[in-house]
Amino acid sequence: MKRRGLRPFVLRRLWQVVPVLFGIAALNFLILQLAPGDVVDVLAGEAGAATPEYMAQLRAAFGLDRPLPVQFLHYLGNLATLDLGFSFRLNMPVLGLIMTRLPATLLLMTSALAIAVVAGSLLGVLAATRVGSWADTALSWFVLLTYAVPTFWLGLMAIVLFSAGLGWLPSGGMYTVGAGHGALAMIGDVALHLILPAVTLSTFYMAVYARLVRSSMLELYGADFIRTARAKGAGEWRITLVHAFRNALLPMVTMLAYQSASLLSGAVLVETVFSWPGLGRLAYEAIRTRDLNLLLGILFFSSVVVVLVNLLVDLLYVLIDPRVDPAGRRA
Amino acid sequence: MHRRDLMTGGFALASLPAIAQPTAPVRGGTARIVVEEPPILTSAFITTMNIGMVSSKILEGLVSYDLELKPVPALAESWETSADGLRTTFRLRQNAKWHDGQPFTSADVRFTLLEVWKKLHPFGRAVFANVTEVETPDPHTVTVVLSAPALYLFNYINTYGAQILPRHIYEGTDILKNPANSAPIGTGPFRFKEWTRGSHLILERNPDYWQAGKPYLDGIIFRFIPDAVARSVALEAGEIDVTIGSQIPVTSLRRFSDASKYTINTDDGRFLASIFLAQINVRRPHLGDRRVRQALSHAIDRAALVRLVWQGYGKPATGPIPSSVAQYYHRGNPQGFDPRRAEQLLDEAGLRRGADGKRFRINLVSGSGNSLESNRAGEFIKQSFARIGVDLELIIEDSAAYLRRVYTDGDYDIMTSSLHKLPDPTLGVQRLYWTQNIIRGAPWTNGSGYSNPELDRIMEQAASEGDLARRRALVNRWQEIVQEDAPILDLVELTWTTVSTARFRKERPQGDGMFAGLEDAWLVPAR
Amino acid sequence: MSASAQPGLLWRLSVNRSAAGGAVLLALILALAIIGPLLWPGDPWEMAAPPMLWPGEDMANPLGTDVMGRDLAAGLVSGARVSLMIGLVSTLIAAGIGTLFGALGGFYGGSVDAVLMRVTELFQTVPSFVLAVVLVAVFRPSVATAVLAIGIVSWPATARLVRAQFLLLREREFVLAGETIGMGTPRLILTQILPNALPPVIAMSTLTIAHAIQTEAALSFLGLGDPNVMSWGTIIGGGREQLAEAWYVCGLPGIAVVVTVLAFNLLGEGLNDALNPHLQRR
Repeated sequence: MKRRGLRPFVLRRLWQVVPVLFGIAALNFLILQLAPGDVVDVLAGEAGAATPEYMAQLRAAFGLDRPLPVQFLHYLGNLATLDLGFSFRLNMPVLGLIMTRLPATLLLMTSALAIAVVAGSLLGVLAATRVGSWADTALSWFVLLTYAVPTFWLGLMAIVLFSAGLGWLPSGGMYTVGAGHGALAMIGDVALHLILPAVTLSTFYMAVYARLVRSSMLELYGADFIRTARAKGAGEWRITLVHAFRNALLPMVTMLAYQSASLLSGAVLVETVFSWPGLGRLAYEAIRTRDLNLLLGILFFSSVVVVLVNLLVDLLYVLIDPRVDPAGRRA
Repeated sequence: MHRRDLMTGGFALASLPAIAQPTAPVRGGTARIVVEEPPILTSAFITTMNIGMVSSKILEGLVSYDLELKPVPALAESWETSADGLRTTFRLRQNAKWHDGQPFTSADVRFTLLEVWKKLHPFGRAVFANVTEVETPDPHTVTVVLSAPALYLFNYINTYGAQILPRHIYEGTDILKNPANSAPIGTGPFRFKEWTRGSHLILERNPDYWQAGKPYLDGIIFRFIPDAVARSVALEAGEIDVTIGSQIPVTSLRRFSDASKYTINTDDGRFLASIFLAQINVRRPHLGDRRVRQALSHAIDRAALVRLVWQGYGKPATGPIPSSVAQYYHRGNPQGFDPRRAEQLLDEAGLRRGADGKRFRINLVSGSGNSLESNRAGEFIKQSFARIGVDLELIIEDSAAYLRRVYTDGDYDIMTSSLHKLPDPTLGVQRLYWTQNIIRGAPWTNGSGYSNPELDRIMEQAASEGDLARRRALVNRWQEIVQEDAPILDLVELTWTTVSTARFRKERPQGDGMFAGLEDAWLVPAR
Repeated sequence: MSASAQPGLLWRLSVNRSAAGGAVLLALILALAIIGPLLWPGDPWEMAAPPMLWPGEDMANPLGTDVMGRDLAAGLVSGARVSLMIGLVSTLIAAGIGTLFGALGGFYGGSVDAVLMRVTELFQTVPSFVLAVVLVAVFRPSVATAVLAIGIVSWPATARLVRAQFLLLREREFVLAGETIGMGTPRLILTQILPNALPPVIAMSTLTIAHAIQTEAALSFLGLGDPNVMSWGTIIGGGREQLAEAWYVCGLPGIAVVVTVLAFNLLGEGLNDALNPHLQRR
């Protein structure tokens, strides 16, 4: 296979992304337009009462009275200039709202992923090196079980045990509000609040990685280069870590990219259970209150992130393993 | 002993430190209060409850209400009404200042009444409809001039119903979009400090508050905890001090029953006079027949509903006016629980049981934004109707779809909701029955489509009646008519609970305690 | 893989421990769903017993009661049928859409493939659970919308798998042979390629069922369940506020979900192993 230049590859991938993003905007716009009721109904309902004239006035002010294609074109035009619009219910620009919630979600996601990768690799390596033993069987069962447990349910049970029962960990929130901590104490405080949600969110991914690492390592144990390494007198540990595990990383990175979209889904549930002030909950609120601009903004934003992560992983692939044809992986 | 009792005991032991005995108010400390996150922080033109629960600490009204729902002075020191009921004069506090240092004057009241309440507030439009002029003879006197007597006016001028805004911030601006709506400047005991959306909101003591020596607290932190379990656990763990507005589910209240550790206040929401009700769409087949509606009313055991769904926190409702509104409450309901009578009425209406034992099928919609109690009540009603042969399909939708279905499309048979009846029937009850209030597209109007010219006349007469005794008689007649016609089945008088640590104290009990300024609240120091 | 790999399949499945384990578990759950209503007759919505009885506290309600005094045992067996049904039907939808997209894309390639793959990518880029929530919330929570929504968000993985299979099989001799004897395209796809592409789809579908059951529970947890139908998710959603005082109300249906998901996963894994003989001995 011929390896093509990187730059055209990146450009081509970016170009492919445009219709996908356009499709996402169109799909969500359409679904929410089909929905009965709009943000003005929600606002009037929350206000306690409203005259039809006032509601019509609001709809005109929000541009909801214009024909659908006009609204859609208007929205696309704004997107093209990276303007995500305004949340009429929360009285704030959507981008601003997303940015205030983004750090919390990023912290939760990266911690969860880090836990998943580290614990998953560890379990996977452990199982692979002891394949067939009771430890392997026990680990396999543990992993299967974690895989089967619904995230939100695990979170609820964790609160019952660790917060209500034992009182070891806070039940929710991101930090102790108003504690007036110094920087160091603050970090500790956030870390303490982070444990339950991050571990809860990580379990599913941990199970996936553990299985992935185990199977890809076992597959590689028989491979030529491992036999070569053995023949050269490399120690078992060295073979495990340097050769087998390194090769198991590749599918793991692929999986990570593939799952980046699902993280926001997990965040909706985990953030609800643990009152974590992140994007997932904001998205859920936006759905409930028909805050079209806000929901579209969040979905659009997360889609861009997913697309970028995938692009990055494709590039990483090329860098890790020159045998891979960047254009060929997705063909 | 049941195992669950053992468990709750264990939880409680692990949680809070010992409490000091009742003491005089103590200065200092920050109260951590859980509310549902409000979209903005100003109640002057919107009735969303959680906005009121937060904004009331920052912005004030002319009066507040005691447990009997009688007005007590707040920003108005005193008031008097002329003999003909057409002029009401308020004397205002002389030493009240806005948080930015500007003096509070009668011009602020005049501006807010005419420009905000009368024009923009959903109830204010009705409350102040008769106001023809607001006179401000001096900076601390306001006279409201009316075209006809309006006894109800005194029932809606607290910080939740008629919140006073600073004229110098709002005049000449687009009031609905003023940035101060999210960072208010008020006269209240606490000043707005910061709002981290999705997480918390911080208020700090107003050192220049007009009540000398108050507030006792250094500040208030409002926390937003969306999950009900997490809220209960946080209160038990001492992570928070107070939850306002029934934030602890009724099914968890048992865990907070130890009075030495927790206080459950059930009076804070009296002012709202909320009733959980089922509104019947009288334009639908079968449901236009009064006998059918009466039969549905007879099918529901309201006492069992209170016991099973609300765990006893609430009272069976008898009519459109709840018992907490003592001056107009009228006991008794001829359409109470009587399943045999229900079946008889349905037979009379020609809706006999079919071969499958069923008479007809209808639906019941409720909003998913409501509490789980509302869902459970739907399940209870479904079981109750099944017993008289009426098949009920439950529909739970989010509020946008629900409001659209009920008030715009009219595409429903029965809807349930918890509506505030307020301390005066003209304000909170008339809107549900008045023919003129059948308004397509507008929420919380007369959505049943019920229209009765005789009742319309009585309600309109009651509104402008200046004599309390005559007004009572009119309201009584009103209640008898709607009980008989049954376009709305009033089911449960709701109790709003404020659950707090027993360390949280307040000097003055209020009927509108959900919307109290909390200048008189303090935290007993933990020993 | 080719048709010749089929005869040994059942045998391989029966000796595969995880597949056998999964099948046995699943049989038990199915038996419970079918026989259960005979053992616990009556309406699972009937509010007949004292509320919040602990399991074992009163043998009339062996698994206890919920906050409205409804028997949990009756609820669980009734929920088994509903949850299994939701899992199965939504997976059928997902497998249908996925197979259609993957087959067309893989068979025709070129611009048809490009367009279909863009659509697939779109659905993989949107967070699937968020999309499911949007669909259910917007189109009125019910069993039907839940099934549809879960189906709509679950198909992309199947589409990719089927497409890969089609790309592989498209060039095989028996397909080319069919083409040369003048078989029409639909017939070629339906009779020649699809039967050979299906086995891994079936393996994947068991995993999709597992995921669908979890998703239904999560939707109900957010209050987006069908109020007229008692599923495991409904019980969890209704008991979520009593977690700290009566964890079993959420706990028991949660465990039921875990066991069922586990059974499907085991079966799916076993199927996978049995269908990929070269991975079997790892």
